[in-house]
Amino acid sequence: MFWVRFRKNKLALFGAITVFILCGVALFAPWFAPHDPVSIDVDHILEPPSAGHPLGTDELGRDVLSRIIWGARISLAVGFVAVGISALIGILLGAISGYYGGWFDTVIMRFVDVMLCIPTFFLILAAIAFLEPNIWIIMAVIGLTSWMGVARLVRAEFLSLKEREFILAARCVGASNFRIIFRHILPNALSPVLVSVVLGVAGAILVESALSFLGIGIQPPTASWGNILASGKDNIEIAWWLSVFPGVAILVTVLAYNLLGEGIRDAIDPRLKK
Amino acid sequence: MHETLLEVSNLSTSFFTDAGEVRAVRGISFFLNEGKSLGLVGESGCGKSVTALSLINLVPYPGRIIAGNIFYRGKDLLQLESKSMLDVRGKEIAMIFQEPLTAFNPVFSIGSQVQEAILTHQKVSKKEALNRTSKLLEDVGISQEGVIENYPHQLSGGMRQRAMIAMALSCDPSLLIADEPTTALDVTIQAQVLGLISEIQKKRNMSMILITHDLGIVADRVEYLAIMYCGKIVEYSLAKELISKPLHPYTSGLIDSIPDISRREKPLRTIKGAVPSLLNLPKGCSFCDRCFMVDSLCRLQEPQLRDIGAGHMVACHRV
Repeated sequence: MFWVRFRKNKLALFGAITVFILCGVALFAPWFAPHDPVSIDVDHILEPPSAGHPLGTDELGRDVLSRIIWGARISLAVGFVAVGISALIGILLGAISGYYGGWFDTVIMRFVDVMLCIPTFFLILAAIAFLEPNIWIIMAVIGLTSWMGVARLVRAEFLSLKEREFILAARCVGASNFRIIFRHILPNALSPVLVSVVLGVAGAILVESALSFLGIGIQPPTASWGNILASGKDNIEIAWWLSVFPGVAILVTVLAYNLLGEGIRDAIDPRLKK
Repeated sequence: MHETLLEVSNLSTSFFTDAGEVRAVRGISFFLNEGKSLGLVGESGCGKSVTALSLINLVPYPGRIIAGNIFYRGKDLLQLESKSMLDVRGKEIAMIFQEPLTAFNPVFSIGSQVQEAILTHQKVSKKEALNRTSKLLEDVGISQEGVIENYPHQLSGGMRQRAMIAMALSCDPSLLIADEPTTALDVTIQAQVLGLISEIQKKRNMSMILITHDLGIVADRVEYLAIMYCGKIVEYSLAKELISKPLHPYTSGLIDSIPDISRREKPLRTIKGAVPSLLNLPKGCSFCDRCFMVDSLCRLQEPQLRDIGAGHMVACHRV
């Protein structure tokens, strides 16, 4: 049923295929990239797209296509790991506060409210200003500041699922609380989490690009879509290809994840679709 | 052989709601010997299901057991730590629910749920658990190819209830509590499922508490009957005796309101009035407003359950 409905949605299918291709490109970057993304070639600086360099070269003569392909690795890795961290924290806190309720629930939910009040991007900026900006720190910081939505979602699912009769039935056969939470309730609560996780990847990729663009994300010479864009900004009057292609890469990726996420949501619950 | 398996004394369970204390179970006592069966009969809201949940200490919030003892094989279940209670549930006391569709987890297959119940309590390999699962499904008569991999929504109501019985039997419990096991089923399937339950109960020499609102379907399947009204047991006796010589006016009312197809011309007799609110019970007998032989004492003083000979107990001033 899920697959039948999903397939009918052309946009979602487009998103899924694009995400699939992107992941393939990122995974096999060394095979796809025509050049070494960090090898400097001072004889071919800021060359427009040509047969040798399909997307041109940057201010140090590096091949833009290769840098975008390697950048896909960084962007997707940041997206997945950051969302993985946020999903883990969100599911754990949401499950415990939804299942047990009481003061723990109150504390967690007020903490979520507080976290939601702080503009996340500035929190990340502030955190990274104090820490060394490497890829692991960026993943961790994005993950630690984006779990609140998942926590609320999981908590709401748990609140309604824990009252269902099959949970009582599970207790009657002697299942422990731990077993009920992770084996009986969680699998029933995962579909909305899946949607939120897929949409979350898009958000994390955007945040990483923005950080790298501002120069506090992924540090050159490692390629990231954000820092290619940043070097494009300095040369925008003479080298349009340096800004346009990484920009398109970000746009297509984020769009693809959003379409995929919304497609999954509509396929899970067709009533949501207007 | 006739050892006491379960002895409940003065069990009281209340729900503490915003509107006040709802006294769902008000000091009930009964006992059940090994291999015997008890029918717990009463209308909706009389505390039957709350009694069942109290027995395995799973009264939902805001309910709480406020008094009483539940001795199972001599140990008080209410004094047990929650961890040892986990071993009692399913392994010693198993339960069958009214609506088998909602009592199964929708995302796992029937087989894996029965198998899991086995693995929770018994140290056996997964393969052995799977073997036992197919054996159990065979015992309850749904051994057809594929049932073990089916999801709950793919089975019919009767098959689901049979699967539920298989799950309850998975760890060979000594006491089976069946809470309205056939209410959600077709009349034609009801008899089959009840027959299966009593057959298995006799074959395995289990004790059973069969909870129902329908006196007609349990009367010839259990050894003892307890009639509940407003959270109290109002009459308790051997099933045969209770059906042939009902003493409490509520019991006779229940028996009279069983439809009889041979008396088609006459309108079905009912008990007039409605159950009083458990929030605001009358001072005397809780049945006094609906009783045809009520007198002044009934309105003043609550009758206690007393033995009027040969183990036939009744709580009525007028008997």
